[in-house]
Amino acid sequence: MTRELVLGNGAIARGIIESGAAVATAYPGTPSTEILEEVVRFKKAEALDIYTEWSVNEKVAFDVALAASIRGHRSATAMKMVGLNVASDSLLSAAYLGVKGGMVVVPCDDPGPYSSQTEQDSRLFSIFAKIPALDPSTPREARDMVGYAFELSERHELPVIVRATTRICHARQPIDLRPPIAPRTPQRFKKDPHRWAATPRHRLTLHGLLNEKLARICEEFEAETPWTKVLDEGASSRVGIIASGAVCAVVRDLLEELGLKVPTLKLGTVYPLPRRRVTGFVERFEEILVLEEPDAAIEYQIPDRHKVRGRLDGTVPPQGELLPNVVRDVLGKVMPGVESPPPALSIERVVEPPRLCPGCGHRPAFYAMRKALPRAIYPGDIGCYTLGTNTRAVDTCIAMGASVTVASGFYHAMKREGVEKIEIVATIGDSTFFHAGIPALLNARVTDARFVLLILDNDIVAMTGFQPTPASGRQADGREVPSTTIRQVVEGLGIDFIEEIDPYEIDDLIQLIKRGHEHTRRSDGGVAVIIARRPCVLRSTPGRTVPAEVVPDNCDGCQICLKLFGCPSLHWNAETEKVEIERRTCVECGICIAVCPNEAIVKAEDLQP
Amino acid sequence: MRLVLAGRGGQGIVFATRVLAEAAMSLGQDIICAENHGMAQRGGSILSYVKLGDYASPLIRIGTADLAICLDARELAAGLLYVKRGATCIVNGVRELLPADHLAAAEAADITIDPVDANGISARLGHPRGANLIVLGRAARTVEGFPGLEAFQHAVRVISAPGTEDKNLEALASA
Repeated sequence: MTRELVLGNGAIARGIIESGAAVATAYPGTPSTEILEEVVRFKKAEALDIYTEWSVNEKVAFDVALAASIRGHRSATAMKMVGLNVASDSLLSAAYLGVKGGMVVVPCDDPGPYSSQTEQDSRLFSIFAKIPALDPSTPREARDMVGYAFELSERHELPVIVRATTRICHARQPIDLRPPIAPRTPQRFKKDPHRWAATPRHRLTLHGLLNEKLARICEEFEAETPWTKVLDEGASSRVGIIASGAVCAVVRDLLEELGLKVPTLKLGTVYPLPRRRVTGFVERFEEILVLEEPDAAIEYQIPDRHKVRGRLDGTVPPQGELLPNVVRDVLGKVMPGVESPPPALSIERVVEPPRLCPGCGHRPAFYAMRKALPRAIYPGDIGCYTLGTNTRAVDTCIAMGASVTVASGFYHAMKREGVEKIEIVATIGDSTFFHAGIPALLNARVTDARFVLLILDNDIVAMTGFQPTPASGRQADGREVPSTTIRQVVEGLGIDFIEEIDPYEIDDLIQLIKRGHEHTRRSDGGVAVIIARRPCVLRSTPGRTVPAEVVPDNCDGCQICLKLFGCPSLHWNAETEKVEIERRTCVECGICIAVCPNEAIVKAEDLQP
Repeated sequence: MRLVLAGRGGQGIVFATRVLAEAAMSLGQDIICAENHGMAQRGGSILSYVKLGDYASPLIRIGTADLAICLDARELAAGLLYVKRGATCIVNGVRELLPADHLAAAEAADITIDPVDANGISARLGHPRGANLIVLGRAARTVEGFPGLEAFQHAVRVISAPGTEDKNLEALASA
């Protein structure tokens, strides 16, 4: 047995491969991305026969894994929590059909949120979908729970959710690696239309069977396990704590630090709630504090809440991550004498927001868009380029693919209002376009919506750490696969204005956007699609070296370069009231030269005597 | 021991956290740490938490860390915010250039600020990305209860990218 320091996502991956899974699928999204990457790493290191894929989106990932389980294999699929929304159409149906081989679904929630649109709680989704949910509190526990989840899933022929959160996914801990068990054999698909292709009449029967399965699972969850048990059972206290997930670990460390013993029901099996165990625990205390993230899945399920304190009654803040200082304040509310001490020193921490990298191709694309059509509405999308908000190049950000649909919606609403000059430029990244932009663009085409769509193609899923896109021609494990280009897709949708350009050619891009806009105004026109192609600068050099210099005498401090362009390598010197270039981070792409209206940023070579 | 590492995206804070964790693990210590990924990269403020010993959660409460390691002088406030009275805060920077109010606040709270000019040293070594290891090396040599230099050298050998090991070892031992 080897001990290895692994990321929480690696621990989840370890649970998947140690359980003999035959198929693992995912779509990248923080904080879940490394799960599939770690599956691939273990697969290569131990020469395991497991099929892995980066799917086009989370619903596709879910379906591919589900089919493998229907055939009798063990399968797993991972996603960030908003990906579960995308997969939910199949998820809810799969609860009725069930599975044959164990199927584990790992949605990763993001209390905070640090890198997401919502603080939604996938455990609430599991209640809605009638799918059991397990909630690990540490990476080690996550690995063990994944193993248990496969057995549970197989025993009851039902997919099982192992819900992780950012503090599990991106924690790191030594783990003793166990050898993978052999995959299940034999597998076959036994045709059974009443189950696998059930009509509404049979669905009623399946719903009844699902309810019976859940009742049996609920009974199973009543048992004491390493992840569902009372800690500090014998301690005398008027308050009892019920906790699950990462915050369970937080409160255990905090009580230890404070030298307090408070009976704590650690609850790793959140849905269906082991009701006898929970109500029995509640009855023993005058007050119960429920600590869970990001919402109130346990609290909602407790039948009698008159002495329960938590997210719902406001004792625990109803939103946000339960960091140790938050939990300490909450403990102070329910346990007199546990007041928070003043901090060691009062000092304000200024948190620097992330920005697009120096040399990033998205920046000149955004700049050109604003130069070409400064009064337009700019619907944006999900990815690195959401950071276009920094330079006001993103006006809306809703969900994957929504740049295209929001652009259509704005157009139709404005046309109905009789707006004379409709100016809309939407931006979407390459992977996001494949994920959810395709039906959106088809809809725009066949409803005759008119806008410019700028597809920011950096040839990779950059935000989450360089996963391949459908245009890359390779898969998660590096194997070569057929590819489809964005152009092929856009042409196939019937779009008649398609241009490709390198966004570094900033003047040409400005003209092209204007030309695209004219196309949207013509009676025989339509959506204009411009594919701005430039590989991610973190993966390849700018391909040219154009050192720039600031001529201080020419800089009048207008800050247009900072506000409209916003490169992190351009700095404002408050003393001289002029802009400077930070050499340490500058990649010498030379784009900023075109941006300065006063010719204060020039090619260094032009300054040579 | 509880410590925070503060820095900016792109400065190798995740790598530094891994090196520290591997170093502790090689000494048989248990460890749990937490990192920022995703949106927090791209030059934004980043904080890593590390706990050495028997802990369940990687998270650390403000004002309770035993040590702060700031890979960027602009993140000194983050480090100071997390440490307790009497703790040490090692910072990549030059004392004269650190904000006077931060220095005064630290002194009033009995917090020792230990500046290391890791940017300057890494430039001299011709290893611009080695600043993180220079600061870690300082902690390894000066902080009681912290894994020693040998453990860090072992960790660097284990996880350095091909071709960077010698430079990384040099950075580790340079301050």
